[in-house]
Amino acid sequence: MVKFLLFAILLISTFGLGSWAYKINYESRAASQRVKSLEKAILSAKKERKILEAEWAHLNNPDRLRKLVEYYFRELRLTPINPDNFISFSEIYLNKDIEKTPAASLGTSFSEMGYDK
Amino acid sequence: MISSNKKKIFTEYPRTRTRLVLFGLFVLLGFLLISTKIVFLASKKDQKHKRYSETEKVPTRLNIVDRNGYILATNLEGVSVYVRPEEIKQKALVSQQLKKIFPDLKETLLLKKLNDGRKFFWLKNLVSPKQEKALFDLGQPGIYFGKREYRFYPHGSLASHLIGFTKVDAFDVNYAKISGISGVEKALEKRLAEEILPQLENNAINLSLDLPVQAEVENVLKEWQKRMGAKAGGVVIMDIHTGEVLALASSPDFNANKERIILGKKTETNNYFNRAVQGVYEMGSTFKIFSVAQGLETNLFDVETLIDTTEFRISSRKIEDKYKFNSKSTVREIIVRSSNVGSARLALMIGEKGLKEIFSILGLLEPVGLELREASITQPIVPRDWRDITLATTSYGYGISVSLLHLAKAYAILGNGGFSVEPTILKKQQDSQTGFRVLKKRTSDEILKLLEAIVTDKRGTARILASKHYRIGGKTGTAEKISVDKRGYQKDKVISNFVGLFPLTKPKYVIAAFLDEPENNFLKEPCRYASCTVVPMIKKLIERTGPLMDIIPERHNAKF
Repeated sequence: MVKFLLFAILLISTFGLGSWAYKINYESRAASQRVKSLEKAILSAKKERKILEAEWAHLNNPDRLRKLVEYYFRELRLTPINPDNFISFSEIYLNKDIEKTPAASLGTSFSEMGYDK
Repeated sequence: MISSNKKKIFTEYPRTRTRLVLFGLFVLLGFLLISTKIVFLASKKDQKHKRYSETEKVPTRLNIVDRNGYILATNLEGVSVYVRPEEIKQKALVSQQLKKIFPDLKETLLLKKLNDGRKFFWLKNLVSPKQEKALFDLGQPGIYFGKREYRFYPHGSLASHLIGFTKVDAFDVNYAKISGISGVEKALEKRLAEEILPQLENNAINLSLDLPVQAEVENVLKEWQKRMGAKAGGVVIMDIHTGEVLALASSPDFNANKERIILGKKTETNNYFNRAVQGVYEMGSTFKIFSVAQGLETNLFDVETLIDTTEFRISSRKIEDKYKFNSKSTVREIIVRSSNVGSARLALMIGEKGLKEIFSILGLLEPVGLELREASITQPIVPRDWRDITLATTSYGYGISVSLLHLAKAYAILGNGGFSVEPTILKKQQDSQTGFRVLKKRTSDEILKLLEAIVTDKRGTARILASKHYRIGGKTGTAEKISVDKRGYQKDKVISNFVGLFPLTKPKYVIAAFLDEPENNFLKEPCRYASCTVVPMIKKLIERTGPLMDIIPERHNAKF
């Protein structure tokens, strides 16, 4: 009787272990497949990023921007930066009424920046 | 019960025991074999089934970026096309179709290649995505695409001399090895070509170059070169403490993206010459400050010492000035008004040893230690024997030829408090060490005052540089060019240059510029001197680049 019980337990545990090993095997294979495809995706994303970075650099080419600024001068009125563009704090004209205008139209309001203190 | 049964079986069938034992052994052997194989498989490094990303080592090249991270050179993946003629049936049709896509191909040559029995030939090394699609849409067998890396310079001709360009060294169906030919591409070849796995983060080499400053410098240089009708020009802006080169321009330049095509034809080779680094010229009066520096360093004289400035002869050569000087002038006046006679007298006082010493301290007798190969092969042309006449002429910049970078380095040492500095194109860490002391602090301070006087003094040669925004100091230089056909110099062809330091409140940058054969025709009389050709350009350069380099204007302190 004891022997039969032992035999039965062994048999069941063998089947149990076998099916567990089978499951793990398939899971790990699936996982490695997924890793492989993810790595492929990462690689292609990186390649894409590289192209986009190159394109961004090309679009920001100073010569190109200069031509665009000249072309759209009427709309943008941009001129090259000049030392005259720097002024001291005392020269900033602060209008108190500026507080009444909606902040959205001003960007960050002066009070937030702490300039009127 | 069971044991008696077993005995019964074994006695009835005597060979059963042996068979069972043998069978047992057989099973055990099989089991052992399988387990050894398993252990073997598990322990062996699997070479065959490496991951896709691990095996695909793209022979890539690092990006080159400026000090703020703007990309200056990058690698992109392109496509090359090759053909296996034996797989193509309608050869005449295919050659017609290919001719439509690539108008530069010769149809007859193509047809010949298709028909002469070869198994393989390259159609194009690099095709555009549009051409690739057109080829793909043909649906013809026998036309294959291979991966091909190529170098892309997003800013075209910007900083082209500094960045340099590349060539394809070796290539295969799926592979192209790129190597540098000039500039940074050549100088840092080893670091750029390190084989890296694509899954690693994008590494890049940070240059000390500042892209916006470089762009502005090139823009202004080209504009003034045109205005002054100059053949060529060059500008260097360098940090005087760290030696970092922020801008290095040489004009005319080239577009490295178009390099592949031009190089074969050997046209416009002139454009590839880096004038700021490779070009050695007699620089003229910009050399005068060096003998003064040596005199101050060795306490031979001070800036108020009176020197004889009447013209004189050394052997048969007459040393004279273009402006009239009093019979005696102070050292300050000699520098401010740029007197050749005074300068020659100073050099004779200092002597051969002293002059050689200061030239050697300032690095004017050897190539500059910039990483570029162009710099390391550029040896200054130094006089062989130092007679009195040589001493006199070298003191005002004749008889010794150096590059613009040499001048920038020398002035950097004079302006940074007297520390040695080596120009570099690589971005340095903020806390990087400064060089060792080579000149006294007092000498450096005196020199800075003299250089500022050249700009602020009413009679100074660079007085038009006086700016309400920045305190600038610097020396002008105009040197006649040596005549190629006959002995002597050409009066109407000059190299005009200027080397300056700014902002003088706390000197940080040296700017050196030159124009080759400039002539200012906007004045009453044509003028070739640096004061009316290069100096106005420098003014514009400093006003444009100053704000970009975070220099806050100090108009309230400036003297006019």
